[in-house]
This record gives sequence, structure tokens and C-alpha cells, in this order.
Amino acid sequence: MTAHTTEVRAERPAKTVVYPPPQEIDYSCRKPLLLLFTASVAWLIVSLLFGILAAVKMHAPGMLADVAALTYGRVAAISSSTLLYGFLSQAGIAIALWLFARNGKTFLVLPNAGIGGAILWNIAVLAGVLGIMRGGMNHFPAYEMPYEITPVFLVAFLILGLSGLLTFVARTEREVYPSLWFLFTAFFVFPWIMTVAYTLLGRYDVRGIFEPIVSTWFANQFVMLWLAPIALAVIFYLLPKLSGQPLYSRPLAIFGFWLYLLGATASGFQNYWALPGWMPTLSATVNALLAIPVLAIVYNWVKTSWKHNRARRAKDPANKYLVFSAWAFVIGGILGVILSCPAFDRVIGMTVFVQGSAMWTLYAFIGMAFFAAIYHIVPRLTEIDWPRTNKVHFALSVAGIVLVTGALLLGGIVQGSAINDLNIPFATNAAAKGVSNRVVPFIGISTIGLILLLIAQFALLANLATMMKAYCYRCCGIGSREVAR
Amino acid sequence: MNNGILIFIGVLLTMLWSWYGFVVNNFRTLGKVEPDTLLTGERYPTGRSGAQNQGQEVYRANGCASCHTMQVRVKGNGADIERGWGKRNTVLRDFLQDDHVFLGQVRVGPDLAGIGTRPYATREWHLLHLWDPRSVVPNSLMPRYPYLFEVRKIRGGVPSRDALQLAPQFRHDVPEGSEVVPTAEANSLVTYLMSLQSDVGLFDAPVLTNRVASAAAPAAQTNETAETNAPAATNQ
Amino acid sequence: MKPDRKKGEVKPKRELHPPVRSGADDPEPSTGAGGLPVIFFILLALGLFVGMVYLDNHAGGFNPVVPRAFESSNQLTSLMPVDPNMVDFYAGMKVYNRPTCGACHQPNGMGTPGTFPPLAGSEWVAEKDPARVIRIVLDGLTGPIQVKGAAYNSQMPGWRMLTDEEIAQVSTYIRKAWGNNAGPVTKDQVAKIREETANRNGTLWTVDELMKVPVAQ
Repeated sequence: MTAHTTEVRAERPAKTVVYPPPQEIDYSCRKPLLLLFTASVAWLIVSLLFGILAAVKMHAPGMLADVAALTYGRVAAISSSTLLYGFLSQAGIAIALWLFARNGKTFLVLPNAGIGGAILWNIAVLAGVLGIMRGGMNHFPAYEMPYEITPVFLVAFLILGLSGLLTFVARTEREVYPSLWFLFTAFFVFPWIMTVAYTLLGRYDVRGIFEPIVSTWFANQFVMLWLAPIALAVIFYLLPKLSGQPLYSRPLAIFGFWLYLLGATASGFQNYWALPGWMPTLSATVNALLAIPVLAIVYNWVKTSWKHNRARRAKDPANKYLVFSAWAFVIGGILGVILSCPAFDRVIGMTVFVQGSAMWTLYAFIGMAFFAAIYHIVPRLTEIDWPRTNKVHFALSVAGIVLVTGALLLGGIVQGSAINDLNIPFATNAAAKGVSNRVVPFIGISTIGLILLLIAQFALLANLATMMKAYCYRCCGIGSREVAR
Repeated sequence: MNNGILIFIGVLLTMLWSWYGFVVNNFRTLGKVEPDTLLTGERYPTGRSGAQNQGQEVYRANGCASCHTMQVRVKGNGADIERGWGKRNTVLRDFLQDDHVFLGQVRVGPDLAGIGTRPYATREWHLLHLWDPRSVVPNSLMPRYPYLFEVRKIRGGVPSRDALQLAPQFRHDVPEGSEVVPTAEANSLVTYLMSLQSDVGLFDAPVLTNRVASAAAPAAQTNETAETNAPAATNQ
Repeated sequence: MKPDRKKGEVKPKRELHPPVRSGADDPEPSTGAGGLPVIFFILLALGLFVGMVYLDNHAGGFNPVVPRAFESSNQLTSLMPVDPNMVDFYAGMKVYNRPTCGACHQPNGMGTPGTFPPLAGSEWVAEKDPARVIRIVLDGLTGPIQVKGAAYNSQMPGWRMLTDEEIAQVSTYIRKAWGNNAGPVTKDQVAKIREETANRNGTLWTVDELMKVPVAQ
């Protein structure tokens, strides 16, 4: 009987889903995505320029001191907010939209509205930078831009996010691949936390006693649940694809996803001493426990791509970035465990070590994953190969990242042990070198790293610009001599 | 995990957990905290004056928190208290009456939680320090803030009462016959900095001394005890 | 062959990788048949156990009052001043700010100018013999009174419903706080006066009546 039914079912013609061809999907998201990608690389360069300016000011405190708009605090804030909002968020949105469309095997919904959203987003970032220069800074971690601009970000995201969400809903591929879980999380979390930051930190002022908790919560969710999931989605997508291999295990991915989510929501408080004690302690514990989902996720990647079609994978320009980013994720997990160890925290707490480990997450893990995505996606959008190799960009980026973060991590240890050593005065005097002056050489090394990173991004931008120029020639003849004549 | 609704509910619950645990829960407990009553009958902390609030805005707008923390660690964790950055650990209660709180994350400069209690940090010292930090702290890394000052001609041959007394090498490009006068911004910033004195012992921030308690005292196991200016136990 | 730039051809420096045109793209990734190794569940259980134990010992009982690096609110209490003479004082402070007295005389003991007399520096409170203070606390006060050179005329209700111990504590507190420096009041003193004045049936004291109370000098 059972056999019979099975037979009947087998005879029934399978419901055939006609997937749209990939190039048409790419065509549907071409315009908004190219805009977002180009703008994001430009903002990364702006961020690095301001970062270098800030670092140089450490060596020459008198430099540009008369210009209120370029005082150290404002320059540093501009550097970090353009990195977070101009580059990472913007590139992240573009990557997410492409993955929503490609992974769900459907066209991007509302692509033209997306162009408007992208323009609005860039206007918001620009307004934020000018606002900081004018002294309207809202000095909370990851929320430095004047809070009045947040609604613009929210409206821009509403357009782009709606586009992503509707694409997700309209997917023709019913099996939801792990990348989409992470993207969905990111797109769900972003409006929530931005609204919280806008209402509680800006518009409707809460009591001072409550403010550091909200701002720390926001900063943590911004990195751990908005940017990092997009980077994880990129790696989950590209590794199997480039290896020509299905992802090793779906249950393992589910395990890693939910545990990562649960842990990431509670981390981020461990560097704060003025908060009620249970918060840093809980965050430290959770940070150490995050090692388990990190292990699960990485095990999945390793099983998927280790030695599988290595040569085939290496042909894609994204591969180098991908591997680096995946390893950076592991090292980031280890750094998290180190940061949460109380004996170590006593030394490196509130030093540049913390900055260094944040830099590692932002540049080495998230940034490199986004570079991988850019190198993978943009040629598919324009249907033009990269005009130059990415060897320079990759080598300089890696060198820059390693120098920046390595110098800050080492400098943090030196700084922390000096602060805890009473024989070392804080400011240099005749007898001994002060704490702050001991950190300067390390900041010098990190400045060199930042300069390398900047040169690398110019290489990327040049590559991108050549490509865009060729694309414009081919697409509508813009800029060609015939039209000019 | 192929059902969009299922993923949505899962993510929503996870976020709700975090939202409730860190934001709502703290809003309920810390939102009720009232100022302490000290032995002297004073309330702690007192509200900030208008000038202090304006100074805090200057502190915010110039990103001072990029380099300065306001978090003195508990004794035994680092040498914060031994360095004289504060008499006891900082707690959120210190910021009860503040509009904004900038705890800071990195100590490129020293901690400021107790800057108002340091004897050398007078108003004149602060103003000179803002004009050029190297005039009072040699080898300081802090940038100058000349835009917080006004350079103007000395009128009638008599310098203004609040003009800075600058040594020649720190006059920078101020011409002879001109004086440097702090603007309202600089004055309010200094007022704010001088009001940062979290030195009063509280229940959750006792001022620990190494005085050995008498054998009869209940706390004899530990040789650390609090100074007697701690207020009543407001422990819930 | 020279690339025709007008047609948008860009000459690659060398063959970078196979054409990346999306028409020839790899298939979208899918998930394989791998399982979930049990070791992860063991790790998770172990991690959760260690984490719980750690939180139990170091999170200060999730009490928002306990700052970082302190273990519990009990530890904080043990760090409080340990002068045994001050026990009543602190208890009295709590009674005072319940609010009973503090509502009118204010937490800082300064009273309300023109309406409620101050306790800080008050000659009535800091008398050597607490007989009058205890009577006022027990049965209240009405009518004109001179405190610190200022005249007041209002009513204070009696607090006979408080226990002897509470009245002793709050009297000790007001006699020592805010720069006052008079001796403590004991439970027995309060009990004795409560007995003596039991037949007043809660009639408020007046200054004239109080002046007749015998006071040890």
C-alpha cells in the first residue's frame, strides 16, 4: 500500500520552479548596488584619511589646533563613524541585497527605490560628518553622529530594508540557506537598535545613570548583530560556492547560528567599571562562551572547504579575503576570551588594547569579508572583469590591518602595565618616561598601518573606477568620445 | 529553518531577551535610584548648575571622551586609586543628576572621575592646560584648544582680570600688547571639570582604607574598612 | 589585440581568473548532509555549567547595587563603618527618612523656614537630657515655639505608634546628625516616659507644658 502511494507520487510530475537566470538577477540589482559599493569605498577612504589625521595629531599635538572642526576628538569620531556608517553599513546593505536576491533566486524588489535609499544614506553620512565638525557630536560609542540625523538613516534603511525583506519574501528557492538567516537577523536588528539609540540617547533624554547602559548595549548590537552577521553571511555563502561543494552540515549551521545570536546579544559590557557588576561579568562569561558557536561555525567552514578544490577556489579574486576573514573570525573569538579573563582584564582594561581588538573585528573580520564580497559581486553586476589584480590591495590591506591591530594590542599591554605600575608617572618627567609617552611609538606603528590601508583602498578605488568607466562606456556610452563630440 | 516566520519569531525572542535584560530591567531598577543622604544631611549627588551643564556640552562636542575615561576601578584592580584618580570606585550613582554621561573606553589621558579633587587642578591651571597642555604638563599628548580662547588687544594698558598669565614660550602667536582671555565655553568647561569630585563614600562605593579594624569589629577578617563618611546603608 | 575602449573593453594585465560573468557563474550554494557532532553538545553543557558557576560566584547576585569586583551586597555591608555606637544611629536614619520626620523637618534637618522648625542645631533637640525630645516625638507639639531665635507656630503629630526602639533610634539620630552633638537615647528611657505620659491620650504638648517637665542639667 505504502509502496503504491509512493509510486503514484513519483509519477506525478514534479512541481517545476523556473529559477530566473543569475545574470538577470544581477541585472535587477545593478544600479543601487553599484552606487552603494562605490560610495562605501569612498567613505572608507575618508575614514582612513581622518584616522591618519587623528593618529598624526598624537605625535604633533599642536597641529591644526586652531581649527575647531579638526580637533582630535572630532577627527577620531569622524573616522570611526564614517567607517561604521559610510563603509561597513553601506557595503553591508549592498551585499545583503545581492545575497537576498541571489540566494533566494529572485529579482531584487524595488531596485529604483533603492537608488533613492542609497542617495539618502550618503546624504545622512555627509550630514553626520559635518555635524560632528560643527560640534554637534553625540559622543557615544558607534553613535557619534548628531542624533538628529538618525531618522534620515532610518528612512534610508526603511527603503533599502524593505527592498531586502520583500526580496526575501518573494524568494523562489524555498530552502533557506544559512546566509539568509544571518542577513534576516541583521535587517531585523538594525532598525530596532537605531530607534532605541535615537529615542533613549537623543530625542527623549533618559537619566544619566541609565545612558551608558543603553549606549553600550547599542554599540555592541551594532557590531555583533548588525555588521558581523552580514560578514558571516558572506563567508557562509562564498566558501561553499567557490569550493564547488555544499555546506558541510545544516544542523551544525543551525546550532552555530542560534548560539551566536544568543551570546552576541549579551556581550559588549566587559570594558566598563562603573556599571553594576553583573553586566560586565555576564558579558565576560558570554564572551568566553561565544567560543562554542565560533567553533561550530568554523568547523562547518573547515569541513566545507578544507582542501576541497583549493585550486579552483584560488581562481576567484575573493578567495584570499575570504580565508583571511574566516581566520580573523577565529582570532576575534580568541581575543574575546582573552578580554573576558579577569586577570588579563586588570592589565588591558581601558587601554588601546580594547581599540585594537575592536579594530580587528571591524577591519580584519568584517571589512575583509566585505572586500571579498565586493571582489566577488561587482564583476558580476557590471559583467566586466577586474581590470587589475587585487594583489596590491590584498597585500597592503593585510599588512595595514596587522600593523594597526598588532601595534594597538601590544601598545595596550604596555600601557596597561604602566598604568598599574605606580613607579611610572602618567606624564613624562625628568626621572621616568610617562605612561602616555610609552604608547606613542605603538600609535606610530599603527599610523603606518593606517597609511598602508589607505594606499590599498586607493588601489581598490582605482580598480573600481576603471571598471565603472568601462561599464559606463559599454552601457550607455557616457564619457565616450563620440558623445562628447 | 526554511520558514521565514519561524526565523522571525526566533530572532525576535532573542532580541527581546537582550532588550529586556539590559534595557528594560535596568530601567526599572536604576530608574528608581534616588540621591543618597549623607551623614552631613546633604544629598548626593546634587544637581548640576547651568554652567556645569554647559561645560558638559563642551566636553561632549570636542570629543574629550575619546581619550579620557571617568571610571575609577575598584581597589585591587589596577592602580587607579593609588594614582590619586579618585578615592573610591566610580558607580553610576555618581552620574544620577547628569544630562549626559561619557564614561569613555580608552585612557590615553588620565581618568577624570575625580579631577575636581586634585589640589593642583585650580581654575588657572585648567585654563592654562586648555590653552597649551605643555605649559603645565611637560610632554603632554593633549591637543591645544586655542579656539576656546579669545585673543584681543589690551585696552587702556591694563590687562583683563581673567587674562592668562602666559610664559613667553607658550604665547604661541599672540602678538605683544594682546592678551588671551577664556571664552564662556572654556569657563564652563573648567567649571564642569572642577565639579567632578566623586570622592564621597557610598554604600556601593566605599572609601577603602588600609586601617586594620579592631579585633572586636565584625569586619575583622578583612583589614580593609570604610571611612565613616559613608552614608546609611541604602541597600535594597 | 588592442582593446576597443569605446566598446568598453578593458585589457586585463594578465588572465586573472575565468570569466566572472554571472551567466557562467557557479550554482548557488546549498547545504550538505553532514550532521551535528555530539562533542558540541558536550562542550555547550560544560561551558554553560562553568559559566553558571562563575556567574553565581562573581555576578554579585545580579544585584544592581553591587559594583564590579565586589562579591555581594553582604560584602559591601561588611565594609560599612563598624562603630557599634552607630548602629542605632543608622537605624534611626532609616526611620527618619521613612518618611516620618523627614517629610517636614527635611532629610537635611533644616525644616521649612517659617513653617517647620529645624532640627539641625536646635536647642530643643540637643538638650543634655532627652526627656523633652522623647515627649515631643511621642505625643507631638502644638502652638508657638522659639527655635534658633525664630518663631514657629504649627502642629506636629505624635508618633506613639512607633515602638520604643524606633523612637530611641530616631531620637539618637536627630541628636547626633547634622552637627548636633548630644548623647544617645535608650529604649528604656523611652519606655519609662511612654508609661508616665500614658494618660495624656495623645494630647499634643505645648511649650508651656514642656517647660514644666523636670529636666536633669
